[in-house]
Amino acid sequence: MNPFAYQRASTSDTAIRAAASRGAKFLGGGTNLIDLMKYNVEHPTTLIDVTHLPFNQIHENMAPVNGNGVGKGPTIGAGVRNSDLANHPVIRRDYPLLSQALLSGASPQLRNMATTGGNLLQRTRCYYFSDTAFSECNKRSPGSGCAALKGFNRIHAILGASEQCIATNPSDMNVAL
Amino acid sequence: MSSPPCSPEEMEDLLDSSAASPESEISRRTFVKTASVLGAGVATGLPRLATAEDAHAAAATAPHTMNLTLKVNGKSHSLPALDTRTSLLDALREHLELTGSKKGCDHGQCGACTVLLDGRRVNSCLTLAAAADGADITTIEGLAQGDTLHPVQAAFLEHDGFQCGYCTPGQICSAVALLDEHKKNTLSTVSFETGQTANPQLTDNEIRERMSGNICRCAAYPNIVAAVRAAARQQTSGARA
Repeated sequence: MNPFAYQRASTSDTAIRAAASRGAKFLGGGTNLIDLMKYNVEHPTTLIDVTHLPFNQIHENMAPVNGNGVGKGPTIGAGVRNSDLANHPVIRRDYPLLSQALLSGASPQLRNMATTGGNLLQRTRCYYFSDTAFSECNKRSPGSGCAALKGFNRIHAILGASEQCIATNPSDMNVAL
Repeated sequence: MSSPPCSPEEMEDLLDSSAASPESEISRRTFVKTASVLGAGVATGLPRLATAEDAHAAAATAPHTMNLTLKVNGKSHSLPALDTRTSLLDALREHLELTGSKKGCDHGQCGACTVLLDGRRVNSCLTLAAAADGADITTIEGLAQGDTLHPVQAAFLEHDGFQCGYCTPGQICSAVALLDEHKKNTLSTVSFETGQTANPQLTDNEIRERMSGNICRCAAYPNIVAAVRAAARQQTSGARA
């Protein structure tokens, strides 16, 4: 793993400013990012820990921001952990599909760590992306090609694929959302 | 960068395979540590001509360090100048000599490294030590009260919930959290499958699903389920009494 500086953000302003520097990445639960750093797929030079920002709440029935009359719904903080989201009374009662989708992924330990924002932003599980033994991967190294196109690709995209990448988004949560 | 023929982890695994007495346990750890330090010295101590490129490369590979304080099992530990890359698992095992938490896959898949962070079970191999600064950490070493085992530890003994024992500290920490989560009426995917989404009973299927973050290479699963079932019953009857 490459060396990196660790910073803990106390306000969203400082987090955003810190993220503007080259090689900086936000750190949530780390279940995806730290894993990929161990595989030398991700090599940030600075990690900005955003888990102490006040975004770990679920607010019920917030009025829509744009006021266009679309129905009210809960607002989920990006820092809410997957297990807390799945077990929130409102999500269990009104959005059981979301609860069920979350609980069908990963493990209890990982769901305690993983955040909603991190789940949305997680990298693909394409094995040519996560295995640096394959030099071709446009996601990992833009312009290098796509090893999955002619490789083992039965888990890859049927719709929305291109000649450059046929990786899919791995999130169960995203499908439910 | 050159690497030693065998990483400290690999060396430790090799050495783990031989039965160790308490004395040789200490010397084994000391040996591994010494070997790591010597290895690092060899890797970084080679004289080289300094160029601008070298200086740039050195800056990119020079470790960042931080002074951390980890609160483990109720006791605060200072960790001065810790490499930011250190996982909570490595901090516990290699720096605090709390070797109960085990390194299995080191990728959050096997659960051998499970500890409780502010009372919640997490994979310590994917948690940065820096991120755990300020949290209350409980490891397998912190569950018993003196010589009195935690009820889950006692249940694992009673029901023979292990064979080689390598995954056991993680299994037990996970089961302790499971009982707490169940007390808080949390759901699992089995709760949805069985329609028990109001107040799920801790059936064997629920236990299996809720323990699915912990893998046992010896496949002691039937006894692990029996141990968790017994600990859950004891907790319920204890609560009634």
